[in-house]
Amino acid sequence: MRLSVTRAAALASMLATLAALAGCHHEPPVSATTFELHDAWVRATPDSGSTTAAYIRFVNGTRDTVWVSRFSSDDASTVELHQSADTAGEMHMAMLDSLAVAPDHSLSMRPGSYHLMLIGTTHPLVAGTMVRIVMHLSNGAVVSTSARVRS
Amino acid sequence: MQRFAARSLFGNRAAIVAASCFVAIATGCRPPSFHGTAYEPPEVAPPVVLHEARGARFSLADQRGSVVLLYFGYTHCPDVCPTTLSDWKRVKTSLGRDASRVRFVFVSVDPDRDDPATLQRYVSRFDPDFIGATGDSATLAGIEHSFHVSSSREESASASGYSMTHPSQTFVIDKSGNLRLLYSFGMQTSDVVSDIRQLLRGA
Repeated sequence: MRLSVTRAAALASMLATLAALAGCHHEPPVSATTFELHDAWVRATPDSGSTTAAYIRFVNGTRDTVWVSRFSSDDASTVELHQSADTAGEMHMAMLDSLAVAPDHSLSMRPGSYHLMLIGTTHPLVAGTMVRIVMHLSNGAVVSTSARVRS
Repeated sequence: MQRFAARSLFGNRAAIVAASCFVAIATGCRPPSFHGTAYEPPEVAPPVVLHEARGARFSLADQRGSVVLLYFGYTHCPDVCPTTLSDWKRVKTSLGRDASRVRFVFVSVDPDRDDPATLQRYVSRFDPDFIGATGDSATLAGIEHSFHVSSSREESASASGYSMTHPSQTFVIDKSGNLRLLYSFGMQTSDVVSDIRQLLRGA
């Protein structure tokens, strides 16, 4: 199960998210009717107190743009949203407040683009284990996903 | 009759040309064709003299006989640098025994934070044979200038502190010390392996 509601600010958004739990992740993104999180993974790090990156695919099946912000995890002291960008051979990185996912669109975080920075890992992140990442949506929902640690 | 002879002669010539082409290809006379962006013509690689994280002096000129992959990054880089080093690890694994004639050199452009121990631990995460190298800011700036790239410190409100803008490419230097190829970020393992094997064969 990739998506769960940890706390919902509105009953409607909670119900919408619970609908996603009913197994929609096997269907193509366009058929989603809710906001879903898929394929989350984190790069392994052997040291506690280090920084690593996480990646999530967001699927917005709702009729509204959804902004995702305020990321956190029990496995890192801070989780920030960043974007890498390659401009004529120069790699830049910028911190962002939120990420907008357009209606009926998906957005994949990936190396060299949008990513989450897990700063100050509380323990070594070992390949094969899971890291829970929590985030706030602009519709008021607070959702989380389990990201698999990969080497 | 004469007409027949002419046709026959033409047929023989065509066969000879075809055979010659086959021999040229089989013996490697064909100009090399690479997946990476090739330096045409190849350029003599600029001097690179730095300190290895393990303590030894690193000089690019001492690597003759090996193919060298060179990248400018920093250890606080959580996204593109680990991705590149993971790509390198896959390349090294795919190369098998040929990897013994390839050097993977990660140059830190963040000497203020990347002390030798930090740098060594970082590159060893990916492979113990990867070389971490760095130097003082002036030395690094000179080397980057000679490679026609640059890096700079970008202040940030991030809890991880400042970030570095840095080159995104991997540079490839051949066995004779010539700059031969460039890979942009997101290289395909099989492409790099194929190119390195060509360079190891003397392409």
